[in-house]
Amino acid sequence: MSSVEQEELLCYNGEVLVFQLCDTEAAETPILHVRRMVFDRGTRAFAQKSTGFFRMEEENSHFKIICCSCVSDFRTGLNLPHVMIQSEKNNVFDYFLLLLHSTNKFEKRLSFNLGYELKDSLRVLNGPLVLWRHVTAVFCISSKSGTVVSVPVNFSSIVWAGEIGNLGIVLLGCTQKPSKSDCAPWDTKFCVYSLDRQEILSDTYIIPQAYSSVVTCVHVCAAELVNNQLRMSLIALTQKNQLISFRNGTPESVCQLPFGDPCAVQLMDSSREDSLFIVSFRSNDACAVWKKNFQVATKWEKILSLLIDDFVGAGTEQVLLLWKSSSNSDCLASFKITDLVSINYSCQPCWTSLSHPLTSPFHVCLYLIIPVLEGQGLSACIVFLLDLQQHLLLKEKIISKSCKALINLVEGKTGTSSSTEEVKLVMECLVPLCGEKEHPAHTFDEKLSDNLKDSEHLIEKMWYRVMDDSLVVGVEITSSLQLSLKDVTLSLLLDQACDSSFLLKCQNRMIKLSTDSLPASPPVPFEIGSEAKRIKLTLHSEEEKSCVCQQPSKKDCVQIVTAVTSLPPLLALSNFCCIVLLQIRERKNGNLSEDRYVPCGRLFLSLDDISRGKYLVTFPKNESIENMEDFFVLLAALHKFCFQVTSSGHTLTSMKTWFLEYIQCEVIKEFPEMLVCKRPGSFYGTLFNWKQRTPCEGILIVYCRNQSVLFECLRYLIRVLPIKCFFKKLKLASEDFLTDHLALTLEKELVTLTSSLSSALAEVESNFVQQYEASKNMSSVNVASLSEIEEKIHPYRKELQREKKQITLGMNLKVSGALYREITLKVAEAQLKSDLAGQKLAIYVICL
Amino acid sequence: TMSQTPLDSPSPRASCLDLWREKNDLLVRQAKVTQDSGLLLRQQHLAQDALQGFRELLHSLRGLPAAISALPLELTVICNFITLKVSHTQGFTEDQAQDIQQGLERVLEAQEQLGPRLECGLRELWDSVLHISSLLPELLPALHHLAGLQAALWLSTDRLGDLALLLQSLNGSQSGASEDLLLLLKTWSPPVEESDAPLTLQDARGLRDVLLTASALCQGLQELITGTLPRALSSLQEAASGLCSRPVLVQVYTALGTCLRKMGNPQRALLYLVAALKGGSVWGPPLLEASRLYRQLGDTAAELESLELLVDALSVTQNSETPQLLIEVELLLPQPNPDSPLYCGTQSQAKHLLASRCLQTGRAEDAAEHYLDLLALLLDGLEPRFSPLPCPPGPCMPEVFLEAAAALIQANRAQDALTVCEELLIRTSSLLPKMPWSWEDARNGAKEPINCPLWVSATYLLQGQAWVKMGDQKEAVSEFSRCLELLFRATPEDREQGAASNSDQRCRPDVALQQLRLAALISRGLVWVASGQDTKALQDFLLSVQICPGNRDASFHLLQTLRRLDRRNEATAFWWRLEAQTELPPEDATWSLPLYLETCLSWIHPLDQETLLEEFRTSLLETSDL
Repeated sequence: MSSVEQEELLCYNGEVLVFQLCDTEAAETPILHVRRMVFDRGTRAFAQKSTGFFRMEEENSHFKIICCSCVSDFRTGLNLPHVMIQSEKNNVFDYFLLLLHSTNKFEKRLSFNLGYELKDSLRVLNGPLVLWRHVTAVFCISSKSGTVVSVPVNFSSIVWAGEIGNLGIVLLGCTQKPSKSDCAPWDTKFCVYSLDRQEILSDTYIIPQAYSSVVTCVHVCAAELVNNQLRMSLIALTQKNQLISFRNGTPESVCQLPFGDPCAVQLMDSSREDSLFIVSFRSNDACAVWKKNFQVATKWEKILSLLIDDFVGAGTEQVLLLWKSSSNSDCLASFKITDLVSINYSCQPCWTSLSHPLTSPFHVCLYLIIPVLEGQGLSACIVFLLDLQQHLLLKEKIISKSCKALINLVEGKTGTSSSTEEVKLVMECLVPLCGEKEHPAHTFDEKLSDNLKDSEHLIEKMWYRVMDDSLVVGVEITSSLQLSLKDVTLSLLLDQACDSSFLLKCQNRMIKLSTDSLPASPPVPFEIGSEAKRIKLTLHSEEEKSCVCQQPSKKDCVQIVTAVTSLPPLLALSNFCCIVLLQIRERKNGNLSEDRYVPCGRLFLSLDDISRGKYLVTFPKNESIENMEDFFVLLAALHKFCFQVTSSGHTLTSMKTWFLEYIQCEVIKEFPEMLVCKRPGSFYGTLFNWKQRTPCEGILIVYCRNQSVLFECLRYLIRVLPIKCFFKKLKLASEDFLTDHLALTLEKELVTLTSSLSSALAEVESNFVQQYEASKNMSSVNVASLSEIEEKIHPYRKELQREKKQITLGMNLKVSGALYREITLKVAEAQLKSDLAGQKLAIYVICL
Repeated sequence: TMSQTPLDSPSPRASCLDLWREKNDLLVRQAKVTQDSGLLLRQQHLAQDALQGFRELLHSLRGLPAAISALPLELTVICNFITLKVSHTQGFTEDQAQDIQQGLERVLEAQEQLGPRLECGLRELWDSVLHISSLLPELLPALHHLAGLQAALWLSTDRLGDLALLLQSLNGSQSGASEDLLLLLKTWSPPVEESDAPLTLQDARGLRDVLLTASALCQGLQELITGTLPRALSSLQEAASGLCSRPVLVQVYTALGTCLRKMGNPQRALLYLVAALKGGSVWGPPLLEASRLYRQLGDTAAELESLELLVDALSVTQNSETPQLLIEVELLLPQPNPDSPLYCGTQSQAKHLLASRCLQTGRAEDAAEHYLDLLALLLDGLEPRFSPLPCPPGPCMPEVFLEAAAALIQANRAQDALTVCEELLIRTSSLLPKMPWSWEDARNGAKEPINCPLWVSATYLLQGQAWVKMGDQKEAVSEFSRCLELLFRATPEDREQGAASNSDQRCRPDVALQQLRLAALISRGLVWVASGQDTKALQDFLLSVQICPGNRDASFHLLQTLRRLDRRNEATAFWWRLEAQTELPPEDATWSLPLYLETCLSWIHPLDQETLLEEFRTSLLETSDL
């Protein structure tokens, strides 16, 4: 009888071809049998359609099927099944390719012999053409030429070979042996070689070189020659167990495969919407990956083989999975045909599939679920909104109550001896940083000679510098005198040889800098707005006191008044002299002010000096400034911008550290509140000053050369700061305007309060009168016997007594809810306005 | 088989590294934009997408052999992925440890150092990676970033030892140099990333700031609990001056409030609490702390107001604020446990605190209302189970009922008190052990059977008191008798054992039992007195004095009754004994009685003790004079 030596499967036009190589005892030579099997949808099983056989010619040889595939024949162009047979005799290997015709006749198409055995590096391509790799060389033989040709490229591996449009057969492989231990894996290169053209093609649009050491197998989806360059869309398997799709040489999607060591990938056209890649593994496992989203659809374990074709005749492809069945010798006994969407046939379903793909009932469910979910979402939103509302109300309530409790406590209702001390301590923590004030240039008062006074103890130093187009003059005032810009004016008087001297138009600025590093204030937040309001509400004398206590102590503070004027007009004189004059307005008791003029010295400047760079400003290079004057000139001449920086979710307490770390700023040793940017680039030398107001808010003052530098700087800041901040540029109106505005809003607040109180009072009164009259009417109606009247009057008396009592206790002063609401709303609005005005003023004070 | 799709897409990139880098940057930018969009649902969706994007990117990067040139990007993508994942799922899991481990292994793989080390833990892996990376400066910024995430993971899982060692190696200091976590974190300065480095969601320095605040807060809370207050203050102030989100700032300020209160600075504590309330939307902890503060200051009105607000605050479900796609301090902190100052319990616990404080401070009407609200809250099942406040230990469910009944009686709502008592009897009857019960059973059983007879007898006592209020003396006497009947079933020798075994409890049941007996006897005695049956009253008062020989209330009632019955000699003898007793120190009262019992005892307190004593003294002097 015959014994099956080898069995191979191939699908062809929906049929399964079973090739069996049998050794028969009777005949000397073995026979190759083929059975055409067709899937019968009725019986849900495979049925034999026809058979054929081929008797091997050579005797005493060992035969083996080494490969079967469907390739086209150049003579007919038809795609037909081919079987590659190897016969071995005395270490000489004969190979021949058998073509199976539809009549089940075999035709011997190609034969050659080799001195070595072909392993699995063999491929049969259209032509038919047989391709294999031996040692480092690649050989091929085609049915046209019939001779073995060696390919002139040293491929270390071939990942794909196939036919592309007008290029013919193309080989894709690596040209260097990939070494696993290589730390620079990009050295090995992909190479594309056209057999027909006998040339290496450019590989730029295929797979990045980085992948050359890991790609093991490729499936080409599309290939095209564009501008004489080969472009490909392909799927690759890698040693890292990934399935990667490349398009024009760029990786697009990656799928991590569920098993190790993948060896083959095939495309399955399962339906119109989506296709699947079927990946087989050396471990006899397989999985399917959706083409669109590159997700694993399902996986199968321990399969015998898998074939892809339209087995059921549905017009689309399915995968046929075969499992080894112990009982039945027939290889098609245990199988499953599926396209993972709608087609599903299986012979032993209980142990064939591991996981099920999405089936249609689930989709139906999905549609049913969605509207319900939407409904829930809406109601959840409403609940959320209601919660939020309640939340807000509660928050308001809590704050007001806590404030009240705090006020009570502070007012000493439960105070202890230690409490006052503590409050003082807290107040000290609340002391905000001092600020300088700005004022537009003043016109000069001509009567200076009258009031000139001794200036020696007043002016510490005077200097001048040239910066770009400006002449900057600075005067340091002794710190014993506390001044604001409102009180001082620095003027430059051009002193010409001729007797007429005239005033130069210049911009004044007051700089107050603390030389002491302030101790890090404990992070208790404080309300600047209400603080300012409270100051305004107190008496004038008290206000001055509180102002003074807000300044840093005198000895740690440097006060400089600067004047900036345009230089070019002066340069026309080529040589000029200016008198520097300081005007101080001293506020005596009340509003009367007295002017005092202090000459600070003269400045001489010539074109020669300037061209020699004598008065040029040098930017600070180190943490400590060599030249203090230059630094003050920078502060005076640079553009100054104030920003209110807020963060909705986080504290800004580390802002200064961030400036040091992210913007590469350095603290100026002499004036610790100033930071200078040392980051190379356009905003090098920009100065910053950060003043924390509340944990989540602060004022940032930027001194920079121009607006574009500012924009660049802000853009960088927003990008690098670790938390999200909002920058609001503060427009600085004049102080007078702000004070007036605050006064106005405060007055309005007061008026609102009094007017609403009087309306409430009116309502209470009218209510009372009505009640009184009503009771009077009632009593007058009842005219009966005296005793009866007495009896009836009694409860009214009692009522009257009670009401009298209540009135004296002030308990019956009830107003209607509507009026009360109206009053509270009005008052709250007025308070809000005045709070805002107060806050604005406070920010202004901080900024300057 | 080749489908013909057009391939005329734009020209390919120079390398896929650039491509992935761009993808990383794009994902980071998108994620940052996502933070700004207000809609929570949309944000979650976008975060999910970004997460998927990073995951795919990581797969792509891991699909290539490890190479030094690609590692900075790969490590950055790992960091971004972990950051997003942790903030999205609001916590660290084992996955993040694996991601970190894979990243470290890739570094070793690139250096061909991977091999036998595969088996070692993260700690050893970090050692070898940091050892190698000293030779690879280009890897340092990304490695420090990954180390920051490792530090966050270890801080959140309380592996502080590993964390300190990691920081030491990051700082390049010798091991054992310093164990102070805050100092180590402060000295850790992650290298500055190149300006052309791939974008990050949260860089190493940002992580360091978060770690610093989180560990300062953790440390401060720990020190606060252990009582090292000055250190706690400085740790908490460190936390407050660091990077905090608003909810964290509320926590820090609350803890500062607690700390300052304990240090005797109530005003400063209050300032912090007000700031905490202003700062955020989490009001529970600062309000509870405020109530403690006011209680310490003796400002009962403010204390009760804070508690009322606390109840309101806890009734509002916290709306989750739109999450930042960053690792935040909250993620690294454990949930506050009951002894933490940040623990504020549930709404019913707060309500109970409010009600009991009202009762204790003599606001019976308010207490009654609050107790009724609380019972409604508990019986409606709005809260699955009432668990007593563990610190200080609170009462369990039946005791809440008893307190409610006591409050109602105190507020002259005897009828309502009867209803509450009936409800309690229905609920406890099934728990009452079969007669007779002894402390032996009690010791072996759970807490409820131990106390069940106590509760039932206390219920009878309260019912009796309610009847007294309603003027029904007959009912009152019968309730008091039922109470006493139940109470006297406990055998004395067992009691001794029970006392010994339960001595560590907050209120020894034997003491409670004794006091209950006393209260029931005196109560019944008082009813007898009111109905003019002085001999019966005398019996009860005598018995009560026998039970509690030192009890002054019992003695006074006895004395008064003796006097009324004109049994002068006995009265005089008893008075002398009483006088002698006053010399003795009062019985130790280290343990506190349940609140309902305290309230009952307050009712039987004789009103005019001193006048009676004075009268007695003068009458005795007169008689002696005679």
